[in-house]
Amino acid sequence: MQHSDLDLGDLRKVEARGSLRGAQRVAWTGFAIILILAVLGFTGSGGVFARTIMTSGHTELDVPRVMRRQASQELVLRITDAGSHRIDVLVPSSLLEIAAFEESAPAPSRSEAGAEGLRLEFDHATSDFVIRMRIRPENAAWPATYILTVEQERLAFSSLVLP
Amino acid sequence: MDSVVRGTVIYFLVLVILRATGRRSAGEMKTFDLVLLLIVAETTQQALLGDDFSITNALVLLVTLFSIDILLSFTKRWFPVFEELIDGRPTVIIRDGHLDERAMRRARIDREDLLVAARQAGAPNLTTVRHAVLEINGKISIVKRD
Repeated sequence: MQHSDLDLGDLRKVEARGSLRGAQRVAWTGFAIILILAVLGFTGSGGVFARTIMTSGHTELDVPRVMRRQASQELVLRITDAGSHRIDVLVPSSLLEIAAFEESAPAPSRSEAGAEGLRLEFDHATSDFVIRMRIRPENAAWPATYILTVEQERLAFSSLVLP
Repeated sequence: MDSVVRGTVIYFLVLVILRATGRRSAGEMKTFDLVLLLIVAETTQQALLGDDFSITNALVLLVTLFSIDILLSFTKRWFPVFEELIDGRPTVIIRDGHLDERAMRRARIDREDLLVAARQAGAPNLTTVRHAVLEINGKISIVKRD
């Protein structure tokens, strides 16, 4: 190999590195965008926009806007001035098609799985009642609307499941 | 957001612990250093991932860790004081053939470590070494006598 060939080869390598540096800057911009989205909560798991609250009558439902596949998610149901001592909650089958129901605190006094979903019955002593339900999405899913029924109240929420 | 916070906290926690432990463990790796490294990797993995095994979590964590690394490299370039704080300064172990026992103790380097570095540099023993410096990357540089 002649010296001139070697120099030319090295120059080409330097030029190639120069073009890679441009791609690197683009990647860093991508990193910054991902971080901003994550901090704001658009990738799920905490952040200002991570959760949304739906209200209907005396019932309030706090749910994640964005869920993650194979990560436990919490749905919080707050019922104020509950009339009867028994509360009936229906978790829709459309939600159970993409997520596994893990647990509920407090535990329901009775539960029944049917075609329309999972029906849970809770006994409570106080007028203000909080139910924390945990689900774990098993597949990624496009944004879809799910309707949770609490007694006569229908609470619709939209969620996206990221892979 | 949790992934970003977890990644940032763990990164700086490991950085502080590694810095406080000393340079030797990062450079001249022995069997017990390897065991420590494996345990640290396993422990931090639990703290980083928690119960979330999604690709999104992995992506956000990776981006967070690499972004901190990029930011730190720029910060070190802009503020040399910061570079010294994170990377430390090279430590002279042998100067003009004189062994600095105090520097060795501080850096937790024994004579065997020096001999290994000397042999790797082609010096048969320490009398043939003019200078030995523990570099900021944890390696020992050897300058032989003429």
